[in-house]
Amino acid sequence: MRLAYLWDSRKCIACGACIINCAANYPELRFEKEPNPMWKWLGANIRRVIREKGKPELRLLSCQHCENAPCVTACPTGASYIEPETGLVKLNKDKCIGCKSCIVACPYGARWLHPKTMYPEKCPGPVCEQLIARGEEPLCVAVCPAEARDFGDIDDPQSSISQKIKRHRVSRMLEHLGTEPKYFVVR
Amino acid sequence: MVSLTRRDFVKLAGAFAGLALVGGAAYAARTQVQRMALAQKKEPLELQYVRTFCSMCGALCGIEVVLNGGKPIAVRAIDGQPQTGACGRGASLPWLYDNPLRLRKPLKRVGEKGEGKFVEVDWDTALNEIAAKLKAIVEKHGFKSIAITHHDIWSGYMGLFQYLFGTPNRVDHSGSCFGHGTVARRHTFGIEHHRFVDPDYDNANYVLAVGRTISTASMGVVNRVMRNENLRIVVVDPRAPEIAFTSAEWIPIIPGTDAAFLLSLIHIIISERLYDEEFLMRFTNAPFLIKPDGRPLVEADIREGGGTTVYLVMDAAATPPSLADHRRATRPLLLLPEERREVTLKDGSSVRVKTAFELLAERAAKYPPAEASKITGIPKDTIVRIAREFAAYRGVADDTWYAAKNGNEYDVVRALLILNALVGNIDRRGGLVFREDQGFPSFVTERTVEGRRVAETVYGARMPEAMFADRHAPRVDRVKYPENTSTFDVVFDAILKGDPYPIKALFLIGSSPMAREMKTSKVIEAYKNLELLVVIDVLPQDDVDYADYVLPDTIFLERDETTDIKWSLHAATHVQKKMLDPPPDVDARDALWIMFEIARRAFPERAYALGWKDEYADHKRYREEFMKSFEEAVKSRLASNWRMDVAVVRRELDEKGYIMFKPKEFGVRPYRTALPTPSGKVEIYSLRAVTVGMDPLPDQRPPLYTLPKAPNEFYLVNGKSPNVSVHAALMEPMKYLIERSVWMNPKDAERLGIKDGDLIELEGIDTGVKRRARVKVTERVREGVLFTYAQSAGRTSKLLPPDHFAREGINPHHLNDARPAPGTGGNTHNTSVRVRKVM
Amino acid sequence: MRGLILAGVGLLLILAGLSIAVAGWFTKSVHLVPWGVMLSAYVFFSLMTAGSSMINSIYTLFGYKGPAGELQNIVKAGVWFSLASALPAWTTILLDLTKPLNSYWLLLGFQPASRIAWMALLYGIYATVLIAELLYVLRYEPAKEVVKGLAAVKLAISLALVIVSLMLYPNLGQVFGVMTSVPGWFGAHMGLLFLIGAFYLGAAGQALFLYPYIKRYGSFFAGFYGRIMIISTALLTVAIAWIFITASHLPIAWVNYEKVLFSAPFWLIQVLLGIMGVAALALLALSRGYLQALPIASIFAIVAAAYMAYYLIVSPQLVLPEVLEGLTRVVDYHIAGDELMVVFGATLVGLGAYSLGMGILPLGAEEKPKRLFILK
Repeated sequence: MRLAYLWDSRKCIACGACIINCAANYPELRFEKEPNPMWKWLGANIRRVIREKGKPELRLLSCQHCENAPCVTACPTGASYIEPETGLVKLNKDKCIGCKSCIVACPYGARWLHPKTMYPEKCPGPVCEQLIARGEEPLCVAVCPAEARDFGDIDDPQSSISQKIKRHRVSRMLEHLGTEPKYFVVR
Repeated sequence: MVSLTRRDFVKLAGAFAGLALVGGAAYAARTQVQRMALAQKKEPLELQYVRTFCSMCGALCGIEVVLNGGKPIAVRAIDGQPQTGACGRGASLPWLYDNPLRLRKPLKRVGEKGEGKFVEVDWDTALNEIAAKLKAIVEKHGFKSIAITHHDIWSGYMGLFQYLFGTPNRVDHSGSCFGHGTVARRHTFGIEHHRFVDPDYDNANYVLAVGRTISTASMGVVNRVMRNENLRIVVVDPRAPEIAFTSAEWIPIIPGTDAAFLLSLIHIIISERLYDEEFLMRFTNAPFLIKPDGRPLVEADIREGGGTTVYLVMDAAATPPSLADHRRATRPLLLLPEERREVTLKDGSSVRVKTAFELLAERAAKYPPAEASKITGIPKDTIVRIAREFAAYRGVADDTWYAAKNGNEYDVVRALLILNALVGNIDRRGGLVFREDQGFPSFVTERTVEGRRVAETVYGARMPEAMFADRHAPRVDRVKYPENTSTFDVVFDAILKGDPYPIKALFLIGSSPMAREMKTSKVIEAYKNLELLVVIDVLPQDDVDYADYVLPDTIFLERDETTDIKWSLHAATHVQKKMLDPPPDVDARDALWIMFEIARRAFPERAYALGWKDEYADHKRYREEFMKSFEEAVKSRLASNWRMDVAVVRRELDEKGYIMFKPKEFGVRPYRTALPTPSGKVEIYSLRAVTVGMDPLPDQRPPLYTLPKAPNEFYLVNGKSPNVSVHAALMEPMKYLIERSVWMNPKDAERLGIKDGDLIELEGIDTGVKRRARVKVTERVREGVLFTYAQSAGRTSKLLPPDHFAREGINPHHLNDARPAPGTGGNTHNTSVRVRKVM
Repeated sequence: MRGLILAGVGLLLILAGLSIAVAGWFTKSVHLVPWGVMLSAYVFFSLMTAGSSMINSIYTLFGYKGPAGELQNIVKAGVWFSLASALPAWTTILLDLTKPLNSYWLLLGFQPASRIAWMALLYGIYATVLIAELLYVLRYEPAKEVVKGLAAVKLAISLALVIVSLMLYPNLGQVFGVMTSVPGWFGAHMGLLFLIGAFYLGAAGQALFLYPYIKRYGSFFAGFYGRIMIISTALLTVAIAWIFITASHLPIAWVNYEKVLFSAPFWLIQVLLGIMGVAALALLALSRGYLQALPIASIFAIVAAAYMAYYLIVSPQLVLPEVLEGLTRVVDYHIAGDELMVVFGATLVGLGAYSLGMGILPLGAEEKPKRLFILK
């Protein structure tokens, strides 16, 4: 099983519901003055990238769950690892020493440093991790009103994400870096 | 003195250092363990999902709230819900529930209005004092001096309050929102509410959104749009709304010139014969013959005793084509042959008539693509392409929602509706359609029972006519602007000048005129002139600083409500479910209870007449008895309206959170049933407009504000995003998700030497009011135009902490001059400004 | 007496340094750049310690004592200086971590693909071998001939140290050089620059801090360190130029490096002080035997190397590529108080350790270990 994310750039209206839902993973940061100083953002794992020139273009950026993850390669203790059952990139906080090389190594800038625990954070957060383990959708996918998000097993040809990948024109971000991300962007 | 050898010294220092090291290491370990504990906290989830509808903005989309351990943490969409949410506003509801800003206790003003000084008082004190003041006001000025305004919270109950206080002056915000479109819809279809007329997004091929972003408000609409994989969207707007990030095409336009653009499309479609002739002939008044005075030719004109509403057409079914009653003509001509143009009237004189269609063609011919391009700033070829695409796809032009931008929107919406009619896309699949009748009970109706007129509530209370006579006094804004559904600006005139008659008391229920009305200085002046201002809300909007009393309402997670699904074409109902009590330190009470309790203390007979009892002073009791029977009555009546078993209705609402009564049936009006227009048909040429002295055809009229001319003068347009609402804008996530900057196009920025992040001062050209904001340089706004989000910035309430993020930026309404649009009243959100770089 | 003062001052500096540094750790906050000045300081001190070891190995491995055994006479001070300057490196890098007390996972969960895991391993070996070398030289140096039976030991230790030091530089360089996420780092250039920089900084550190031990052999060391400084400065110039040329081909890397290149500090500190100043003073020392020129050159080199560590490590993180082509992530980094505390504290620890050693260890040529096997 390889779990992957899909984001449809043709449909996303930047409503922010996924981003704000994601903040449910970090209730301790809800009313912090600076919940995410590294991103100057909410305590959430999804951030917004907007092109202000030409046709307005948007990307919603969260962990790409790369098959060839630079953060896993860089991690000295093996705290950052790829979960064999699901293919998701996870963090074992017992082994993490907080060296931040995973944050530096990620070419997508998908990681941030939690201001209270000083651990690196990324998608999926603690709540979504449990939801996924129970076979439910992560909070970002569950809320999207524009049906611009999907999540599922790309090794299962019947899954809705596999069908969308087959049916639509999809691309991935920063493919030239060889990270083999599992976050598919429908164009 | 003990002599210390070198060795001893070293040993001592070493021991000391060692101790310090050990101590430091221990303390470091403790801190590390604490950080780890916080990080490792993997509490198992205790999840609950409760379906309700969202009230973070006025759309009221159906959502599923995710609760963990009884606290709301997130929101989910509901697959299959006719209007499913949720956007960032809905997702931010966990921050509303326990927000430190939440109004907690009744407040009584102690300082001057605007000082923001309050003391907390108990409910009885507040309500009794308000009741006493109200009584005094009514004794002097009558019930009609009480005005109430609201947004979509509690809106179903507002009708009750009019009877409760015997005032006609419940005035909503449509004048600064959808009012202009409402008048245009009434004048074209007879059906006026923006929710009752909407594109069939599920089946449409091509949507033209002019003055409508689609992505800003109802996520239920967004859901339908995005599920339709075949849908092409073209959005025309001075700034790129959020939908421009999708595969939609964004066409920038000069503000206030939408009508010229649309008339140009109409011109191209007519001159290239791309219109649906059949539809125009049979189901619109395009073939109606119009006299030189602009009035339609009727039977009474040509024959003594003829019908005054029997409109005549030239029927080509006869040879030669002759005058006929439009209801009987089988081939009414859209274009008249010259020889048939003279009509002899009953007095023997003759007039040269034109068809409405010809008049429309003439009007549209004023805007050929080259001319329209000059006016709108849109390239000529684009205009031609859109016109041809619209016709080829049989497109649909959205009839707009929040339309009060430049004061000329009546014409814009008329043109939009005519455009839809031209391609015959009315009430067909994929066209501009009329919503199914909801069959949702009115909460209070006037009827005759046993020979006497009463106002009867849905739960069976009856108020005798004598008590509600006042309710039928002319409403202040309707005196001035009878055509519009409301023009709140007139309420301020009534407060300030007593024109047409004085308003002395104002209730703001979940609504902020300072966020939604123009010329904020006038709003503030009006507040200062009121004898009583009561705010019922959940968060400190700017208006609270001027209130005499501020009363905390419950939020939608804390109560039950049943309402029809607002933004669905189907007949469906959904419910709000109580899933929480207010936090322990928040003594919030329902606005409904507040109003009834004030009425009971001031005018007890009126409250009793509407079914209230003294025992309901206990909020718990009111919930358990009054509200419970209210809701049950609503469900009962709803079930009987739909001829269903109420137990079935209740179960569906309980389990699914919604119930679908009837899916949208297409091809009804004007095909099988007449439209409620004078002609019964789609009125390309508005006969109602003729009656009230307005132009029966749309035209490009200038905006109401002074246009920018100098190189440092700009249009200032404002709008929303799916994160903007008066309440959501104060939620912590919006610190990052709403930009409180002013957008400027790079070409303008370069010309003025302004860089991204610079501080500028904007001066309203018509008001001279100055405000400062940071600039965001972006191509997402057209040259010559500045954009800022409304309702979410430049907040001033003293109840907000001094460093609250919502204080940044500007409230553009301060700069606006509040000039009412002729005919419809209603204000303009856009204005013009002069810009100066500060640093 | 002098030793007592030195030892006492040393202990105080160590205490003070540790307190300040640990206090900095407690008040740790999120910095906008994940690897800030603490990492720069770590690189700086790493270069100094390993460079110092490499220079010592001219005697310990290659056997060159100098015409009058000068190098042999100062080797104890040299090795102690290597160890003392390693302490700030380890202090800053450990205190950059969120969980320094869990560092054992670096070895327990060793990831061969991770350059940082290798840093931990190599530093472990380095520390072990360096301490072994220290014990050896304190006991047995200077000696006319190698003690019987210990020749192999001496060879093994010094060879191991040289090998491990030579592995440290490219690995340290590649800690940054493998990061495709930071175009200004990505590539092979840092390893070589670190190697050259180690000699540059090692010579500078020794010429300054070993001054009490080398001044009696003035002209020799003027020539010795002077030569090393000139050669390393020349090579460093080439290496730095290589970095800028490489960066000029990568748009995002160039955004960062261009800012550095056209800034006053680069020309004043790196070029004027660090290259021209050091070269001129070293040349003066070399040609005229003026040992006194070297400490000044050292100070220039130290300042320049600190500045270089900043623009090599921190600056390239300030503008990073974004996922949409043509867009960048711009970071508004300012050095934070907690970082300064750690760096300052670590520096005091290094100075204090060196002073302590001067006070209680027999670092001078004539001094012998009398107490506790290695103390004087």
